Amino acid sequence: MDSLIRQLKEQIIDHLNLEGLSPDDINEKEPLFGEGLGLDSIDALELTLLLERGYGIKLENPQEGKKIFQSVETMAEYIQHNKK
Amino acid sequence: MAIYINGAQAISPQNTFLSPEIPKDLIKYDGMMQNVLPDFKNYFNPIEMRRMSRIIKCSSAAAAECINEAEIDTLNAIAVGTGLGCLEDTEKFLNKMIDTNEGMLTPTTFIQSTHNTLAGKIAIDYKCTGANFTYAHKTISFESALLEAILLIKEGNKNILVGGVDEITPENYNLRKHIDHWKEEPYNNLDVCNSNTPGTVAGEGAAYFMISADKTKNTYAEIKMVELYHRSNGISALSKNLNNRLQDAGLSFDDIDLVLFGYNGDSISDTYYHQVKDMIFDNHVHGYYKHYCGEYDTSASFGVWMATRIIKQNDVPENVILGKRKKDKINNVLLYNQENNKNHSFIVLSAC
Amino acid sequence: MGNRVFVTGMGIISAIGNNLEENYNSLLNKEHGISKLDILETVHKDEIVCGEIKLTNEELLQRLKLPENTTYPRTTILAIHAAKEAYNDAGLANGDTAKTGVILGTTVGGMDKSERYYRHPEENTDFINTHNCGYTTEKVADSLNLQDFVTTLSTACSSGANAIMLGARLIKNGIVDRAIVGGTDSLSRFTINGFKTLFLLDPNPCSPFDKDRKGLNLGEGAGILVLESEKLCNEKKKYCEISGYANNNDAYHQTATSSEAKGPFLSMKNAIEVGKLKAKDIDYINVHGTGTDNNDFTEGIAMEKLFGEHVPPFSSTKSYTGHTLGAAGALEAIYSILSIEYNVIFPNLNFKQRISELSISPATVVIDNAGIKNVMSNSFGFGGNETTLIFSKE
Repeated sequence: MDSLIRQLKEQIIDHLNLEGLSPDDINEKEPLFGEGLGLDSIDALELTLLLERGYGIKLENPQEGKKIFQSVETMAEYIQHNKK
Repeated sequence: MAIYINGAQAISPQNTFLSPEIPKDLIKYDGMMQNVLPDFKNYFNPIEMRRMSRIIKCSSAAAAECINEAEIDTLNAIAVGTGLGCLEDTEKFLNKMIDTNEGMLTPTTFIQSTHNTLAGKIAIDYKCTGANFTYAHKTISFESALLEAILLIKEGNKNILVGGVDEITPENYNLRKHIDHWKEEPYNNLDVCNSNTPGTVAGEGAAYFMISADKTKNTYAEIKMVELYHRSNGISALSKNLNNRLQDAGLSFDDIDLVLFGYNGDSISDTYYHQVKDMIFDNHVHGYYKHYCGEYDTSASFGVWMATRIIKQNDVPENVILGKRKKDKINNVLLYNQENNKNHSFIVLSAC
Repeated sequence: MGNRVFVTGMGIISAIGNNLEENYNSLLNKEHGISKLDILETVHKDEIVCGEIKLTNEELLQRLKLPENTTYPRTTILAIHAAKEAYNDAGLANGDTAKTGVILGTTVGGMDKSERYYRHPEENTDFINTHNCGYTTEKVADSLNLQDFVTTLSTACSSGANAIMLGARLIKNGIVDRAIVGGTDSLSRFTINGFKTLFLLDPNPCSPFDKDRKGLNLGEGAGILVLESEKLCNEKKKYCEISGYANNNDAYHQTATSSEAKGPFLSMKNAIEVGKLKAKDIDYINVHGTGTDNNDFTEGIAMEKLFGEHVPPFSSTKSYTGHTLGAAGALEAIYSILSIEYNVIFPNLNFKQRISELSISPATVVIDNAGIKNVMSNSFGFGGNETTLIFSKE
């Protein structure tokens, strides 16, 4: 799990082009959207595509993302359960 | 109704940003001329920068300093001119679409590729819910935005932010080599006016101006005229039309103290500047500016930036002057730009 | 006060017809133009439906009597097609000397050619000069032999509406006496893929303002209007007056409208004020109504906020044409004016159930003798760019 969290943080930084941030700057328990990292709906789409292309998990409805993308931790848990 | 320029900031291939005067020492380029970049960390945090390509950063930083300088209470509206918009993002999306056969695409570069990303970003940053226009018409994109600002002031607005923003990318630079758009390398931007060869020099820039209804302690100049002719219909028609419009603005040809030409080094296009110079403004003081900024769709905005400094400092630097004529007091500057005898633009700025 | 501005000519080409009459008949007969792609090549052609004009570039050039080796992008060809119809409709001919502006809006410009030749410039270099947004406007000006004033707006999906607005303001301020205005965009792989990455494409014909709406269909087209000052068109047939207009920014997010719909509310409210009208004077709204989750909800919120209990009949004609991006504001301006001309409200297609957070639903049948004097047309775009136009019966 820890290595998945680390890998996810790196992928998020890369996919969302968060130049100047390191994995340690992201707390896996903090919200990704709103108050925490401050991501928005476009980032949610980018993360949806990250799930699809990085882990083979396709979300049929982008609305599902809301729960999954609450934090890096919730994302990692979802990936662990649904990875193909 | 008088209309003033109360802020003027330009990021360009020279050290112009936040400079009160026109730099005397020019940076020499032998290929494309790209912006001298400020430290963007002073302007944006990493989260904000995730969706800011180079042109968006230049645009937003120049806009921020212009708004800052003008010390306004409220920003009423925004009008940006950009010939090709966010070129780098457009190229990224297009290339990925071709490379992956419409496969592995992501939304960010698509969203960023729209021309109005620049003006929209400033609206978000300053919570400006007023009018927000983006003009994308080749070499008169900036002038169209300026004309828009004049309309908006006439309609009762106080402060309009107007920008001229374009970028040159290595990819676009190479692409346009196929149509011989540029001079053969190596060229020298300092030689723009005496090369006698076809092709121009590639440049870019982000210049912003605060166009306001009221004169303040920060006022650079008054805008007396912005006149656009898609086609000139010959020199005598052009001369007559200009004379009439200058009269409407309370001026005559004799009142013009300096004519800044958009000479871009292309021996074919430059013949049209020669005609206007020799047949309408033969006895005037002449200057030029594209050896500073290179040629790009909104390069006229750099010319306007230069004119604000010339008027405020009452000084025309040696390397701006074309020919030998000089004048002690510069009150009225006329800028003339065109593109192969199309899209002729005339702007008059006056000291006040 | 300024000069009054009238619409004296219109021309249109879209997925529901190649001219005004065909478009009007399709709207009246509830015949939409959403179909599988036949002309544009894309790997997604089996997954999506679009409002495609079923004429190839070659066929369009033939109709315009232009040489078949003409290398104009499709966006340009569509605009010239509509412009010629509009100019004729206004009773104008080459050689008219009134000071005229040509102002168009577009988002993709010559992208169809660029995406085809981008990696092979040695095959065809024309696309390098036809890519920019201004190219089409200049070709339209050339085709009508107009030389005074041209410019182009690119404000995403409100581009066409903003071009109409600028034309009206230039006439009002006496800068030009006549303006050829409108919007144009062709389908391209670039936009199809872009909207696909945003998960905004409904695989079936879109259902604006429906509870279960799944997104938009992209479309293509061009709409051109001839605007004239009062003094130029005194004796002429006038379709209507352009009475109100406003552009505001939502200043919230690049692609999504804020949940309080600040921008759309302001543009509608300000357009009514510019027109010296009251909210109750609006008889029909041709809504932006893309069929996306965010747009229809927020546009509805803004209408309820502005009109209260008395939201006028409204419909989205994007259910016929698809979302034609830079052309949409112009096509829908023309449909709004046809609504005044024939005193009729065109129905919104594919609507079944009201959006649960809203208390309003669109017109779903043709309403004749609708008593129409003032029509509002909304065009909202990326970058929070919101434009409202109001057309009034003379």
